[in-house]
Amino acid sequence: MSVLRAWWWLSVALLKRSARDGMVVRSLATPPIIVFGAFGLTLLLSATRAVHPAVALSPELAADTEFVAQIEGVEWSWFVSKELERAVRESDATFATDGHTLWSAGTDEGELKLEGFLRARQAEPTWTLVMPPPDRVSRTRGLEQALPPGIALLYALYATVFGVGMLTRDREDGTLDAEHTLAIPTWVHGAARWTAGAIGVLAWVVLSLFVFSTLFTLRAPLAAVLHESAAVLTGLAVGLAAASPARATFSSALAVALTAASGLFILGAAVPALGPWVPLLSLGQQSGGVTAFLGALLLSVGAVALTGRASA
Amino acid sequence: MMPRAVRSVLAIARQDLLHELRGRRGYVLASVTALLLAPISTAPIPEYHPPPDVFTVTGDVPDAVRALPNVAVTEAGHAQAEFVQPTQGPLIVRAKRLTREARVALDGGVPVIDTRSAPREVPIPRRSLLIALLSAAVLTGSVSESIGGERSRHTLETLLVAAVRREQVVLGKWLAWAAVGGTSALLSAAVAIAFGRLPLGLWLIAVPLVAAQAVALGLFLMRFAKDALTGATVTMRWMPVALGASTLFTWRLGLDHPWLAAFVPLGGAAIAAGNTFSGAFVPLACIGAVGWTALLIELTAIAIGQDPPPLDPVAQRFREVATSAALAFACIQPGIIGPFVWIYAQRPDLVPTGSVTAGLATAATALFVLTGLRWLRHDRPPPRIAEAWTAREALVAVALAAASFLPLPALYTAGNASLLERVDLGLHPLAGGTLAGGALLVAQEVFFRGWLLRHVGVIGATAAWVAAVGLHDPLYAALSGVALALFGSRGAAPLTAAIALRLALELAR
Repeated sequence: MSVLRAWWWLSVALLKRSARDGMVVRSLATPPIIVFGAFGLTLLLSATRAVHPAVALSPELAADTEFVAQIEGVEWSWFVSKELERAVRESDATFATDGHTLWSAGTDEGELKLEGFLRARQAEPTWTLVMPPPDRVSRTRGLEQALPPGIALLYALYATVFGVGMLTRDREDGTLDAEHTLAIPTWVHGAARWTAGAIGVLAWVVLSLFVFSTLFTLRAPLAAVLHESAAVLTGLAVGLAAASPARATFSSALAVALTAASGLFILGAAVPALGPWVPLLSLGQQSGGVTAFLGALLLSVGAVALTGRASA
Repeated sequence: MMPRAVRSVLAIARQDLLHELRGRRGYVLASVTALLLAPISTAPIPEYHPPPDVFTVTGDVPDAVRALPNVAVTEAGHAQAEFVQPTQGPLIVRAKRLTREARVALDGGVPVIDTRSAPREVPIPRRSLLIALLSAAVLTGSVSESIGGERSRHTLETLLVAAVRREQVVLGKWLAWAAVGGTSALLSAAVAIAFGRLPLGLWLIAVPLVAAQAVALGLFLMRFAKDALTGATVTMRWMPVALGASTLFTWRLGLDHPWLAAFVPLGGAAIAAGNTFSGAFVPLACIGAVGWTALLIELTAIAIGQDPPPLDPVAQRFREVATSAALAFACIQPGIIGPFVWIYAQRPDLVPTGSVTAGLATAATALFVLTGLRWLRHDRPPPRIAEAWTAREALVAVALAAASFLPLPALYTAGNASLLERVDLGLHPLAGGTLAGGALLVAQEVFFRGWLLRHVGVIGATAAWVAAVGLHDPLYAALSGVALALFGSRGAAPLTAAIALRLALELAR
């Protein structure tokens, strides 16, 4: 029981030290803020410009009440202009038309919608234009496949840096030596660092996934959590293992750990068959993620054991 | 004979440059600057050749369309346009996009509706903008060392007690680095002109002013820096943001109001250096840049000899309330209101299924992370101050509560019931009907009545609560906030009591 208590309080102490380092907190908070903030803002700005386009109409067309009612029906605004092309070029209107020519500075979708209205005015149209229903799946699938794994890879690399940093910094400033005077098994020191790193980084990974699922559909949330957690835990384990030799310095251990972690990811991209089963390789793969997560736990146990033995 | 003041300024500038550029460091700065600027000044911009525009079609594709170049017949579901020929009536075209050629072919050679693209002709900054910005950016390290380094070496005090004015000290330091940045920018611009990449023009005057203004801003940002490292972290965080954001803002503003844009700090000079807008823009931007630079130098001179003013406990507590409110708002609202962006964009079909649950879960997780971080960083409350609340906090709480009586903004009322419902979820998370709502309720109590109440008291915690969640119903938020805080600050288990009361309030709704 006392070992577990020591494990917990050492982990809390390490978390406190990390939380009090402003640079650590800022670096962890940056990915979701930048990625989703920029995306949300872009969407908002594009929506503001695209939602209610203004249409410049020639005086003759503006007299067609049926056509004007169609424009108002889709909540577009309109005004009468004698210089239609100029109205579009100078951004006074998104579209302009006299009934035969359609000037456009807007989206294909808006242009086709307006063209559909104009064609419907023809007496005997040879063809009619119909807007297809929006295809939600294909619109956001690409983002689902790229964004969460990309952010998770970034966090996995952060975890690698944390793993290396926590161990080498504490060894250099004597904290680790002081901890070794405690009457607890040596593996507790590695385990506490693993716990602190895992809590610290995984909280942000889970938060990123939640933010993603508020804006886009995340079809397999549990699998995403398992794959991303596996990647982070593996990154942490690789970092701890690389820094565990007594003579390892921060820069040498970091070079080894980052090469190993990014090498694993590249291997996953090169040999997709391995992907679903191995942690870190499994990012972006279509599988349940249980095997990868268990693999990450196994690697973590190995890294903690190595850290305890080597640091003793 | 040069006046004494000018000689002092020049001496300080010379000393700063000698200290910074002595030995290898000078070569490094010169090499980095040359390596960055030489390709920008000389390399040609490759011409962009867009890939052929392939129009994918499927279904009963008419022969006239099929015969067009760059038309590819593909499987259903992967095409940009689907053609359906019913037994009676006209051909139906279901399309996400149609090429002009396809329209003409469908109309039998003579377009019935002639579609023409008429994009706005937007002036784009030229490469001289990049030259000016990079010349300013490479000086970050040196400018950081200028005041921060002097302070850590304790030579700043010596300089300040010497028979020179503070303005002269700051002016000397500014002159040193503005000259380096301005000269490298002008040299690069001259090379670009010699290579025929840029035309001669008035914009050349603005090129060195970007570096001059950036150096003045850099010195101002590090006026309280204790050493070069602190100074560098401050400038590295703020300088790229300031340069990038102000340039982008100026460019956008200048498209509609060039005269106004010319006076934007940093951005005005940068856009003028980019030879973007014609007419009086460049002279006005130069006047603006000189004015801003002088103001920044004066402000730095006022602050340079002082330590940052200490905050009294009351001001410290007010700042804590404001920061906590802003952070809690940032944690709670984006997740809940975020998906409304799709509704606003008239694409409600893209709102993810279960986005309310996800939003509540996001808010709860973010608030738990925030509470955890704040607890880990400051686990002890600040020393108690005599006042239980301050007039400022009370005024904020009353003002926020009074907002209930103001008419709702147009965005709320223009048929956006779903937005109102979402905004309400911050105050009444259980209305979401999911477990995540319960988690958010607990997270809010832990933060507002658990952590914040201990640190800033009843009124402060309530003011932050109203600002963070009372967007739609500030009066209810204020009343419930005060009740919860009073309830939560008494008894043996205040936090549990507050959670219980909150649950009761929510279930009674």
